[in-house]
Parts: sequence; C-alpha cells; structure tokens
Amino acid sequence: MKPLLIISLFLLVLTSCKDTIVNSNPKVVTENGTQITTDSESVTKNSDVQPIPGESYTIDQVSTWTGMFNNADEDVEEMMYVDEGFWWTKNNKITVVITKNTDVSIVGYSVVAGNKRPFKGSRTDVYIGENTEPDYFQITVEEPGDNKYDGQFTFQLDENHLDGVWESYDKSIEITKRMYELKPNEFQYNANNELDESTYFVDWNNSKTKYEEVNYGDDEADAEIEAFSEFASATEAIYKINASNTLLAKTDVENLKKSDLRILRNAIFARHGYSFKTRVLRVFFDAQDWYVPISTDVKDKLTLLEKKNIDLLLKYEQNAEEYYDYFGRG
Amino acid sequence: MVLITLQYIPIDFKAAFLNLKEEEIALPYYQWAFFGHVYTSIFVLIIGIFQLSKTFRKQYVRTHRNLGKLYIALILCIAAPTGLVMGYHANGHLISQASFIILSILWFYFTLNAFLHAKNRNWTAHRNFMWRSYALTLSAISLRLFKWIIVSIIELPPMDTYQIVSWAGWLVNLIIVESYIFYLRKH
Repeated sequence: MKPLLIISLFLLVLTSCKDTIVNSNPKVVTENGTQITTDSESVTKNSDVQPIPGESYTIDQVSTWTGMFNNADEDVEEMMYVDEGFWWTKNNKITVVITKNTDVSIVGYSVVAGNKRPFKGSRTDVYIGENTEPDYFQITVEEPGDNKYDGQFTFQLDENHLDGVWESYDKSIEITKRMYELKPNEFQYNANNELDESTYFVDWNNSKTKYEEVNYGDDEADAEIEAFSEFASATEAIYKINASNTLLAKTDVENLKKSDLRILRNAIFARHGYSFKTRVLRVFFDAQDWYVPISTDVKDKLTLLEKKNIDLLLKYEQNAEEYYDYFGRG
Repeated sequence: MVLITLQYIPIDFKAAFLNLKEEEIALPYYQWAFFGHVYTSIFVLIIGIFQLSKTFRKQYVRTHRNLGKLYIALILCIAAPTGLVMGYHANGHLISQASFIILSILWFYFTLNAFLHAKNRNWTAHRNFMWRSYALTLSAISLRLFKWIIVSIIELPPMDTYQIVSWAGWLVNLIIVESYIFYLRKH
C-alpha cells in the first residue's frame, strides 16, 4: 500500500501535464468597438485624477427609433435553443436614426447586432382627408449594398411610429425579411442605469452550454461572434454592482464568477449604447428597458472610472478563465 | 507541481498567481518571500517522496540523512518563514490569513521536532513528526486538488472556494496522519 502511495505521489508531482494546471487557451472576448486603445499604464497611473461617474450625454440626431427587428417569417423551426426552456427567436433590438428628413431625401443609419449601416432614400407624403399637414410619410431607404447583410427598408413614419419591413438584397442569407414597429426613443447615457432583475433573460445560473463558434461574413471584424464555451454562471452580484458609477476594488470582484465579471464589464458598454456582436450578451442586454443599441464603437466615450474598472474586471476574467476550474491556483 | 513552479521561471512579477497580487508584489520583502517559497518548496516536496520509502532509507542511510538535513534546513530557514509572510498577505481576508499563518507555524514546529528527535535517536517520534511535517508539505497538492474538486462539482464562487481550501488543504492531511499514528499506537 505504501509503495503505491509513493508512486502515485511521484506521478502527481512530476507528470501532470500543462493542461491540468492552467487553461493554456484562455478566451476572454473583447469586441473591437470596446477595446480601450490607451495603454493600461495611463489608466492605472493617472492616480491624481479622482475617477467620478460620467455626466449624462446624448447623441445629436433628428430622431431615434428603437424596437425589435423581428423575423417576418415566424417559424418555430427557425428558433434556436439557448437554454432550458428558453428559445431565442433570432430577433434583435434595432435602432434607426434619421439624421436628415426633407421632402427630397431621407438620410440616416441603423444599428443592429453590432452592425452599423448607413441608408438613404426618399419619402412620399401621405394625406388622409383634408389635412394640410401630411398624416404620415411613406419612406423607402436603401443600404449601400457592399455588406452581405444590406437591404432595403420600407416604412411608414409619423410622430409616434416607425413601422415597416426590411428585405435583404442577398436572398441566400438566413433571414431575408424582417418586420418592426419602432417607438421614438432618445438615447441617453446614464451611469446609474442598473440591470433589471425582472427582465427575462437566458438563465446563466444553470447554463453550461458549449456554443459552436460560427462567424458570418467574410470580414473578421464584421463577423458575428456567436460562440464560446460558457462556464456556469452569473449570480445575484450582477444586480448589486454598477461598474459605471462605482470605482471597484479588489475585494468587490475577487469572489465573482467569470460570467459576473463579464456581464459587469459589458454593462458599461451597454450603457453607452454599444451594439453587441456576441449573441449571448445581445440577448441579455436587449431585455433591458433602458438599453438602446446605437453605436458600434464606444472606446472614446468611456470615463476614467469605467476604464479603471474594465482594467480590473479584465484581469480577473483572465484569471478566472485560466485557473478557475484548473488545478493550478491563480 | 513542477509545472506550477515553472510558471514562475524566469522571475516575472506578473506571472499567474502574482497577476492578482499587484499591491503585495510591489513590496520588496514580499518578492523575496514569494520566490523563496516557490523555489524551495518544490525541492522539499520532491525530497519527501524519497524519504518516505523504507527500502530507500535502508539502502542509502547516508543519503537519507543528507536529504533529511536539506529538507529540514529548507523548511526551517526558507519555506516556513516565507510562508508566514505570504500567509499574512493572503487573499481571502482573516479566514485564509489565519489558516496560512497557523499552517506555516505548525510546519516549522513539526519539522523542528522531527530534527530534534532524530538527533536524540528517538526514531518513532522522529518518524511521527516527519509524517506530520510532510502532511503539511503535501497541502500544496491537496489544496489545489480540493479546489479543483469543489469547482468541478458545486461551482462555488472563487473566493469562497479559496477560503474553504485554505483550511481543508492542510487540516484533512493532518487528521489523516494523526489518525494513522493513533492507529499504530493502539496496535
């Protein structure tokens, strides 16, 4: 019995391969539009400046409209299994911004699923009865067509509604027709926006799903990040901590799981209206009432406080990814 | 364990465990303590494997004595005192700090006693204290093993896990060894 003990000890000390002590392929996804360009030195060394929550701000535009961008051919077969009892209908939150609206031209852009695309077109004024003011505009606008997911919007616009359809130019993509009923919704950054516990979202608590990695599109930067493996997951902590209005310390984050850290970090970007390419994050934040996806690049909008928190959260995410479920201690 | 140690060669203040110990590693004495602890503990761990073997002890009496002296010297002079310093700065607040501090003191005490009993040719007592000492040495492995088991089965948050294993990592080993010594005494 004793030689056996000695031999097994010897094996444990010497032969455990590298993969058992550390995840040598840690994967912390930072999307292009969220990577802080300033080297982290300047973020951490800037200690004489007291980090404070950022002021509210908006983005100037003529009008902003938000709502769900729904698959027009609703079909149960098309739905995707996300988690126990949860089917994602592949519908995303969309924001349509109209920057110019005259009788000769309509100009603007749409933001959906991490993709910001310009459009332009024209309008027809529609009168009902004897009104001197048009009751609504009938508008058709086109996207440039140099992206696989470009298409044409056709909608009716009045003071409170923007309703219509979108059809892709390329009929070989998965969903070629979308419908939407958008409401006026001004984007406003507010550092105090909290995650809402009551909203329905993918149950991260029990999910240990391994997603397949699938990239759409030819351009790596435009590819939709659909996938990664998710180790089971978020806790109540994500509703108690706000990384946009509170400077986090080591003691705030050291007991958090990888998914907590990840949601806290990405909630910062969501408050700035970042439109996520990563599907799970999109599904999660689309469910937040205050969330208006309006930008695909929020790097320059981040406050010093937020950058410091991102720095800290990333460090712990990296550590969790490398060591949490591995033999080596981080 | 060798691989865990190799992560820290060459000296890199940002490697692995140290990446989350930014404040501590800025202290010069902590740098000495950490690398002193890591680089000596691995030898202590490996020496102990040979020392346990009866055949080895009988065949190479002189080597057993020399390796034993090295084992004792490394623990008493470097590994245990540096463990005390690191324990004081441990993650996980008072709970794990207390555990690691007690661990390093007991480690020193058991090893010292083992040495003194060997000098007095009190072989049973020497053996018992060496077993206790090596049980604590092995906490380096059991702590990580328990951690891995806990997160694989019940997925506790990281710091809760760490506080649990900071105690379980050496207490379980010590209880096993004490029970075995107790059992031998009875029979």
